[in-house]
Amino acid sequence: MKRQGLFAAAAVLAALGLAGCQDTINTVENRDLAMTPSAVDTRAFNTDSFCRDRLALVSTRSTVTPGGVMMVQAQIRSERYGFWSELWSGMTGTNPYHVLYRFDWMDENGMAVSTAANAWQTAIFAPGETKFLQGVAPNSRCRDFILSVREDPSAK
Amino acid sequence: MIRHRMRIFFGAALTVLTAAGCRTEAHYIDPGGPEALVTVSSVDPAEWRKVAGEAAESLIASGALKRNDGMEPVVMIGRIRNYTLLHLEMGLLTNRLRQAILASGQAKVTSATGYGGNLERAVRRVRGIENDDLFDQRTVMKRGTVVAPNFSLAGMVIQQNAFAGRTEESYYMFHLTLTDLATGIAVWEKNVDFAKQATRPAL
Repeated sequence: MKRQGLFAAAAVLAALGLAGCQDTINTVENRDLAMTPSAVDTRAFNTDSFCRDRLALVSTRSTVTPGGVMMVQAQIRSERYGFWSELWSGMTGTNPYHVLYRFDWMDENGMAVSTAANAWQTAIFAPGETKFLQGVAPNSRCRDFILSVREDPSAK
Repeated sequence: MIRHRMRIFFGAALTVLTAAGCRTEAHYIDPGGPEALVTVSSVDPAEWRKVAGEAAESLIASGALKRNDGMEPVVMIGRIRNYTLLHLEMGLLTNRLRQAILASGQAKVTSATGYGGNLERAVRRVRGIENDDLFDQRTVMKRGTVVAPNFSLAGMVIQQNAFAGRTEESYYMFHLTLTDLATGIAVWEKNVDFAKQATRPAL
């Protein structure tokens, strides 16, 4: 009975210790937002359920830059916060969470346009962190895009 | 005794088979993908792409290539100074920037002048045949027809290394500037930086 009590106390202590090790991002923003973003209606095709559950697409916005080309920003938040998620990501060496992303752009005929930026870019998410993955169209004829996101296995 | 020899034989065979299984045949990889090597001591292919991509996107988005004087924007690719201890092939960056500027339709890129390379030599050499009777002089390029650049794209790359115990860290920063050659004023600037870290094994 005494041994069980010791185990329970040790488990609670370990849990508290691990919880104290959490290194998550906390944010504050103004409640009355002044911005009027141009939201993009998106549809997603997910093949990696882990990546889908670990990152949440909060919003996708677009604008036309002073250079006359389309710019897209995808607001993505890491959902890997909380005790169990942090414990697991710590054990598997995936905290922070490394992903690769790439924007592909299509012209008015639906043809993919090759760009200098058409390469995988890295993004590193701390637990709970929000980042804006940004893409700029290579020219003013591009209006459609595909954002691809994958886990970076080389970072594990 | 025989059993002992058999054990040694099978052990050796297993080792050879295991070692053979570790071999990787030459194969193609995505130069910017996760299979590509990441090193602390150099700028890797994925990073050249990152720098070129971020710089090109920023430049094209900025609208800095637009001119108010009615002249067609023409960009000269200038020197990107290497302040690192590494030998870096800046063509890996400048070639992508040239292509991105051209593909944007916002400006032309001159091959007639610029820093290094042999792109500009033909423009001058072809005018050296203007008195050569081998050539039909009506087809020889005339002097005074080459369009001069009105923008210059130049920059620098800086590296800083740090060591803490067995951990090594390298920080690289690329700084690019677009200068209006009519006024000498920088109309666009961009920093692209990244850091890499590795820890050596204890033994």
